[in-house]
Amino acid sequence: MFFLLIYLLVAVAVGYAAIKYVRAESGMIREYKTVIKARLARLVGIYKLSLLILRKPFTYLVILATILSVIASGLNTKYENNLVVVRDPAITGDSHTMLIRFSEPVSVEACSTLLNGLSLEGRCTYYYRVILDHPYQLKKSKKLIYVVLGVEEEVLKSLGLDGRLPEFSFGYSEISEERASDSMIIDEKVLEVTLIRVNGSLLANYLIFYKTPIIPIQGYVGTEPLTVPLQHVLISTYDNVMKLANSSKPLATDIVVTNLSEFTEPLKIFEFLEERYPVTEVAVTGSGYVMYVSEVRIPTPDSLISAILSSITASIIIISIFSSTTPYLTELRNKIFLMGFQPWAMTIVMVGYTLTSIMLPGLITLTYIFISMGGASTLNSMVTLITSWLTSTIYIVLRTKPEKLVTEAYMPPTFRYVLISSVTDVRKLTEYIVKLIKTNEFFTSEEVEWRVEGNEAFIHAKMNYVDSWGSGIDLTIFVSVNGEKSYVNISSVVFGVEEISENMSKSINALAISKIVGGVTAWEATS
Amino acid sequence: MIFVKVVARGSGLKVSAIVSINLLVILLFRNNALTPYLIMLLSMVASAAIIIIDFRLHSILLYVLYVYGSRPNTVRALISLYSLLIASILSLPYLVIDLMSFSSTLTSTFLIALSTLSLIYKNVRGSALITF
Repeated sequence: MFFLLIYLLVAVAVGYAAIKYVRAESGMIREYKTVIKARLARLVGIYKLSLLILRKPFTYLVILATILSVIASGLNTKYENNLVVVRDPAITGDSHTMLIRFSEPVSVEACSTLLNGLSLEGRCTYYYRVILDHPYQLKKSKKLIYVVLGVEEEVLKSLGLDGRLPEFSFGYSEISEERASDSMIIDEKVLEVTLIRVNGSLLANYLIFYKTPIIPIQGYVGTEPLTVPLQHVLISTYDNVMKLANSSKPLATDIVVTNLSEFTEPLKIFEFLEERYPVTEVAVTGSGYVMYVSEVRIPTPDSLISAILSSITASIIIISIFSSTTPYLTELRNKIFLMGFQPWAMTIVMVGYTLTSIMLPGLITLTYIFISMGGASTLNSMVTLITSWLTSTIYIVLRTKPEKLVTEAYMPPTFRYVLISSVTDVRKLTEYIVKLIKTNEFFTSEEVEWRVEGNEAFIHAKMNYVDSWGSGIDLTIFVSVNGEKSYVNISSVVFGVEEISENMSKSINALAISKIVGGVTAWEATS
Repeated sequence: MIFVKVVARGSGLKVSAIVSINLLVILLFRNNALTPYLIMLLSMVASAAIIIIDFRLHSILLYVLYVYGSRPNTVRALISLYSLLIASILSLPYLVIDLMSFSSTLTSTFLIALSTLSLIYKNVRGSALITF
């Protein structure tokens, strides 16, 4: 109770302090909101510029070139099963041995089908090796069995077991006695089994093929395989294991063919089996090497060349389009600089443009390719898309980059500026300048006053700079129309409650004046 | 002579030659029946891109031709010839493939590509002239 009271008191005190703090800092929060507004204005400006370029007709060509090239490289993809050759001088002898692995148990007839189909001779050894989704439980020893191995008599003999194990007898390495009775729970059914001790070391080190242990591999640490711990493994005859699997005919997950009459390309064997069985790997040993063919499919070098050529074609077309539009983009860049945008704004606009016109349609096409043509085609198309996007983006960003940062940044830094314009409607011009002052995203207008008399107008504005507290600019603008031209005389005084650096002063001045000069110039050109 | 100058000043010819070589190699490596048609579409896009590339330079050149007394028919013939040249270069991959192994599909694709590209180029180039 006491602690609850203390807790409530502390909470009330903290709440009171928070309210006081927020009230005291509300002025700062207002200032902060203005800064956020200015930042947002810049983002909106960049977004509008991107839209302006995106609406140009050449964008359709860029999109078309991208989509067609991506589809072309996807269509042209040829893939083959992954073939790996491992060299090992330790493998000796002229005879060939083959391992065939399946993703699910298949009939043992698969081996004879293969040998007959390819006119080969050899001796088949079958293995049934499964990792159980729902483990069996040994009641007395309280162990869980995750792996059941069904093997032929010869294998059992080489592991020191009787080749003909009685019904429901299993080899198990984790018992101390020679033979023990136990109850095994299989899917809520209880089965009385006999466990016969098997040498753990022999079982763990028994290989069915080159570096392939009889116990299923769970993963690898470096190149070393990690197998299921022996306490979770049972081994028995084919008959016993098939009874557990409720199968009337013998099944195999792995087949080893020894004494092959002749060397056959594992790729050929894989393709033969693939049409008939869920094969995942075929490996063949020869003198000093092992060849593995897996179900993983990779694009052929031919199709990769095709993908690269597609990307070159797309890049050439897109770059050609960009190169012809560079004058327009450069002009646009100069205009936005005059309106107070930073030099990097154009880079963001162009990267955004290429992302929208190349990457976005490209990714949509990639999704279509993935669904209709598969992973290998998608890989090829992705190469095309990324290469085209990168080259196009680098090209256009370099072309629209200012020649020198200094010459392009916040022009002009002078405190007096005379702008000559062809707009002769003094009222319209004055109202537009006032609008430009009021909408300057870098300043908040504290005072804006103006007066138009005949062919002349006078504007005075006091503007606070949003990025720095207590500093701003005082503008005096005199507009006069003389014949077919109008003259806009701008004078400025930068002020600050604290001492401000020359750099800062120039920057504030340039930001205020350039908006008016750039705005009037652009308005004049577009109206 | 005028034709050579028009061709030499534009970058369209170079671009079409590079694109054409690429398309040829892609066609050589093709393993899908749809590829030739897709390549045809791609060459059409390339053709449109070449129009954009040549637009400014050729507009100026043609304007100069008018100013220096060339007759409209001469200018039209020049445009048609240039259009045919670009279209032929872009359709060249089909011709090469045809020569290597004749196939009626590819021949028809080649003819469609040649005539369509030529028409596209000529029409768009013709409409560009209206601006002057």
